[in-house]
Amino acid sequence: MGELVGLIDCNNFFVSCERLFRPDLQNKPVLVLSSNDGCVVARSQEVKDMSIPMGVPHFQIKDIIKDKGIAVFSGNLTLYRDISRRVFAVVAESFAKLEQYSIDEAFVILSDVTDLQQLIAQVKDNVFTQTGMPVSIGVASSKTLAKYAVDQAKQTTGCYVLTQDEWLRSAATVPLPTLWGVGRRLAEQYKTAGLFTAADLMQADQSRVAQLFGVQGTRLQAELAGEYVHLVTSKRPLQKSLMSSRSFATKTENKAILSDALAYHARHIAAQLRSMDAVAGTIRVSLQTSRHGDFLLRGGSLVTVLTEPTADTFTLISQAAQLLESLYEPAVPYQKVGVMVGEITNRLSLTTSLFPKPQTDNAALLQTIDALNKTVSGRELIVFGSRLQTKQWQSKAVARSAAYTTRWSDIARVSAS
Amino acid sequence: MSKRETVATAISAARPALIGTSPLYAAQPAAGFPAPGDDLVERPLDLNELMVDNETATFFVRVSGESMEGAKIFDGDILVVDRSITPESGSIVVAAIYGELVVKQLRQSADRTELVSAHADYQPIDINQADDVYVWGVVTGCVRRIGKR
Repeated sequence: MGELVGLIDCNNFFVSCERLFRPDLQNKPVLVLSSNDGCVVARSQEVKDMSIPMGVPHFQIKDIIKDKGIAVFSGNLTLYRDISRRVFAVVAESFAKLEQYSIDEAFVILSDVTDLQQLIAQVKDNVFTQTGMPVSIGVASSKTLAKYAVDQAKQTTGCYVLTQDEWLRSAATVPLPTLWGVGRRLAEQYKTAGLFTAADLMQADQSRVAQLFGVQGTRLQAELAGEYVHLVTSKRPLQKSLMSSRSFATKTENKAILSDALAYHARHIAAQLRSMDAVAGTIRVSLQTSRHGDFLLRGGSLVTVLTEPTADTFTLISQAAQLLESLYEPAVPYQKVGVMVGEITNRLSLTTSLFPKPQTDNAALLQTIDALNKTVSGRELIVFGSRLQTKQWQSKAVARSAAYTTRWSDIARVSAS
Repeated sequence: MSKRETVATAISAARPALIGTSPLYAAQPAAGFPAPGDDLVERPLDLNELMVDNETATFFVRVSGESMEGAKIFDGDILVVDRSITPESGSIVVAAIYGELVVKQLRQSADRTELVSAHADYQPIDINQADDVYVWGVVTGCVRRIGKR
């Protein structure tokens, strides 16, 4: 047996994080809302069983929440990131190569393992013991099949090794749209070509697949045949873009509030870029109106190319303000604004422009501000570019759990009484 | 009983030299003639190193209540809890009992498993039959500041 691909996937990750310091929520229905929009982003099994779908807005399910006594949390990313870090640090001890794919999933390489079942069961136990996180592990010969295997794991004991024989037997019952990387549009194209299941694609003529679906199709075909095409790489490529956006507590026509909110997002993105040691080449500002009502078609977004890639807060704030000037329409009630930066590159790989502007050296100042803001985790101590308090526009978090692992004042209490 | 003085011993001398990736030399060769003793660079003492063995499995919690005073764990103390340690009889543990996190001592004998307090006013809790009880982690340390910050 050569190399195999494993996928470690946390079970109901956000919910499991919320339950870690709250044993009273064990076996109780729990759901987590997105921190900006108040839509459901994570559900415990109990909530899934009530057929509350993913993504549904909070206000639409208020009654059932009350009736069934569902515990509701606003996303607590600080906590989730720390637990994620711990989980994959434990996982990494057992494998030569690990690629963290998202906050709650990682691919690993298993090479020349003698007892596969025993190893993954042990990793699963070990992660739970050390971090309290229940995980499922699927193993197969390619990433796409590992993803399928982990779904099987979730329906069984939490560990699943998919052999090629077994896959060949079940491929005819696996619809293509359920596979990793097959989005709605691609699924539609396969359907048009008469390909419905994984087996259909595997049996399709290779040159025809290449002709119809290009390299994406042939890669998927190879992955399904058990070829290790999509490599597990421990080096994570830089994100291509970063976004910060949030809905207002109440709709607003007030330009000062819009500009303050944009400055807030610009500060956050700039700080994040600096923490990644990266710079952005473009900035986009978007203003959105409510999806329901007369102003549906108003709002919009504009992008501008920065003269030089930057992570400078002052530059991003002033660029965002200029874009706001062009986008803003009076008497339109805006629901949500956001800032997005793109063309992110490593700061060090920069080639400077032919006509550099005289450098105002904000780097040292920003570094100090970053350090100060870090000491009061979760809150901004040094704020600039805004005149109002964020309270005036930020929607209230329903119930954000404590920063149990990152703030001394928030650590869990244990009773000795 | 003989009276014992509290003695503070210098522990810095006992610290093992050069662990992990500490720099072997502090000065860059280009910076000129190295200062004497430059090859003995050590990092300052770090309480984490003393209190935390397994960072990924270690969590901190705060004590509320008096039931563990006999074990010198007081109201307001911060406990270092290591989830990677297997609890045994006699371990001080953080346990989940009927939905609440508590700090107790685990006591196991041939016929029973109990969580006991270190205070005469509190009765042991028999956890043999209970299914809503589990050990959350093992307490490996206790941190307490003296006086106001």
